Amino acid sequence: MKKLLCAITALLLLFLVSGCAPAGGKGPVHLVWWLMTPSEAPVDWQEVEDALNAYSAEKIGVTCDFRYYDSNQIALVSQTGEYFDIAFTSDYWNDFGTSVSVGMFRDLKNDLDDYPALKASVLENTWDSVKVGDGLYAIPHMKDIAYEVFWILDTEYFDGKDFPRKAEISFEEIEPYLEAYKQDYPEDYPIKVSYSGLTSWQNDLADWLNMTYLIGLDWEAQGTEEQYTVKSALEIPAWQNRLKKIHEWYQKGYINPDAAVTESMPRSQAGVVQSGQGWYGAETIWASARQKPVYCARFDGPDLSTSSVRGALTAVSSFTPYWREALALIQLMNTDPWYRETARYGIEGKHYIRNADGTVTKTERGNTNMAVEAYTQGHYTLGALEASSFPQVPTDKEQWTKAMKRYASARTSVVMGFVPDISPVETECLAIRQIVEEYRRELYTGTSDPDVVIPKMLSRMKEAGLDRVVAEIQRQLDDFVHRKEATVPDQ
Amino acid sequence: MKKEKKENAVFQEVSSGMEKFNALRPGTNAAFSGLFILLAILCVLPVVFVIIISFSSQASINKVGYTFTPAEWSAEAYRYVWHLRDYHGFPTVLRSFLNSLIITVAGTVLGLVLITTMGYVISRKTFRLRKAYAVFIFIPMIFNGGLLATYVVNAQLLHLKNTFFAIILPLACSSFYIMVAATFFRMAIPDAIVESGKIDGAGQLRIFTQLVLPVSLPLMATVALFLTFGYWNDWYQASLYLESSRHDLFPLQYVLVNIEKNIQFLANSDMMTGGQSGELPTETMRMAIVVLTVVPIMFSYPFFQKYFVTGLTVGSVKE
Repeated sequence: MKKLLCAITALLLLFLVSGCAPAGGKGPVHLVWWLMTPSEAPVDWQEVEDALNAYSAEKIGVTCDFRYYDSNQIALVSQTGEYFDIAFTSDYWNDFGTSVSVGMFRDLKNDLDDYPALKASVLENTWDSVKVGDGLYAIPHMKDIAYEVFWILDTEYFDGKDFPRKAEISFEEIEPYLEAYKQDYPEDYPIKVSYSGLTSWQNDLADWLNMTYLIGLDWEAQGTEEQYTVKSALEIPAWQNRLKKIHEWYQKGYINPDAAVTESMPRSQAGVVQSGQGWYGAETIWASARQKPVYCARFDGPDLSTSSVRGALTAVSSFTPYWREALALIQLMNTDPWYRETARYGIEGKHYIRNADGTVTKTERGNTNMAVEAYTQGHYTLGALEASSFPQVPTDKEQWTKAMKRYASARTSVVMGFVPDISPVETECLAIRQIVEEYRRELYTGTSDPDVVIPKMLSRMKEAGLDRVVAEIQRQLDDFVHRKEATVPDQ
Repeated sequence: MKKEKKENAVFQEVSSGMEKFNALRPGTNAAFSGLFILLAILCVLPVVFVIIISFSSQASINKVGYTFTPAEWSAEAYRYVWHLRDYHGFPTVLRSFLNSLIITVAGTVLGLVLITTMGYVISRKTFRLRKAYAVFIFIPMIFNGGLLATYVVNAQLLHLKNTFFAIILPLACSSFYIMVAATFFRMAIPDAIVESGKIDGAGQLRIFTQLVLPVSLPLMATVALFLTFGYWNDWYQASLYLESSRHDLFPLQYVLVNIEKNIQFLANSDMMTGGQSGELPTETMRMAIVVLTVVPIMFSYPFFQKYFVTGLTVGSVKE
């Protein structure tokens, strides 16, 4: 039934698309590129697009119509088969898995060799996450592709207290920092969070297969016989222990007591100790969000997994006759600094100015009229970096070379490319989600005692069918591992 | 002279008697007045509260929360909205306000024409295709093609994308309003009015425009009010059918929805990649958006209100 549906959809797409392909002929080939926006295209985008097109027409004979869609619009245009040549895709926008299964994206396995610069610009160990079956359907964007989670510490306060700056501070080792602040300001809280708790606190606690339903593989089991055993996070010791620690801090008064009912907590108002997923170098961004100098120290990661890489990908349409031109344009975007910088920052002098040290600073107009989600266009690592707005927090110009080195040897998921299909156990998953929703606000903020709540949650989840969900995902994963092992000798 | 006086006195006696008869006891009067004043306050107070919050400073909200007496006043939210400029430096709010105005007025007029004419036609018992029309209009009241099919027809078949037509046409005609109109024409317009026109030799169009419509003002005002509100508040059509780069066509509501979406995106995203301009007045902005949405449409209500009168057909026919 599903296959039939896919086939019909694909056929339908083909019919709809066949009428709209851009007319060939002389002059540059005109392509359509789908990009993500939370709301609308930048106001000055047309001007930037004209500049980009003048450049690409001369360089590779291609021009492009960049179309920005929000998450509702992209669902509509992709389901109704509107024409495109290149599309941004991920696991939260223009879903990669679904699009591949309905045949929207071209298998690039054999094409990439003709674009060596593009192929070389991608980290070798990320390709596995964009393979489906024996095809390769997208190009991963180089950015923070492995989960690394950091403490973000207030420079003024902790330097003043003579805490040495360290590159790594484990989750437990932060306790003296919290204690010191609590002693100085008994009325205040070093950690101030909203109901979701410390930002990204659980990203690295499991190799997540589905974070919504808290299902994943235990990192600790890697290399042992249990490495392919699907588990609920509630049964993973690392996850439990961290929640116990958070509860302990809550009881000691390190976390704001109203956290479980706080809707949002902007960085500018959160405490002197914050957390966030990022990379060494992201402190310039965190400082501008907090509007105060900060430095960062890693406590988790880097971990490379399917979902960490699928955060930003670019795919080529399977219906376009211009896939060669499309790949050439993707290559230009990801290897040509001028093209990349213009797409990201706009027109030099108008939207940004170039500083003596090679960094750029966005102008007021650039901030209001040319703000794009730069990581959705292509490699975030290419081109000039933005200058820091705080002299105490200098921009590290080597940040991405260093990051790529760390990612190259990052702890890597044993099931890269595997994403479970939960539709056979949808009802059970819905019930599990209800249970998670019920407890998570109090659990994640440390308000409730995990020793009491976790067993209660677990027994309720088991009643709701957790075992069936785990068994189903386990079956799919065994299947995946089996097929992968079968194909390895061929290569 | 004497007689007149006497009559006057009688009249006064009678009328004062009537007044006494209709008068409420002071206690009851006070109780009822109090009740309705309370209800009115319940309606008005939230609006006033929203306006006050929209003029509070973000810092004051962070410190003391929502309050009627903020620690600090600020028009920062409105300043932010006003300073949003399009490519040519024209204020986005003004341009989108004009777009909204054009869409609302054009849509309401068009919708009114379509709905009243269709409603009138199926209300006439002598119209031969009446039943067929009624069924034809009734079906889309229960079913519709769904989002995908509608989108394909409007965007890919009719090529309405990036035009005002795509925003106006889908909302212009509603089966429900047609049914309301038909019922009104059937119940409130006496057949004798139509017949009198026929006897005088008027055509159908003249009967409709010169005899029926003038006594249907309450219906037209009701339908127009709903249409106006519908068009004014709509941003969904714009989000479907306007390319996100066509800022020149955005209606006001869509601009405001986009601001709200941006605020939410910034609040939710952990990684704020790129130099965000630090502090957006988010809470006050939300309330300012409510004010900007509500206030203009509030002023249209009195305009419609004067047509909500009953008894227009009283005395138009003798039966």
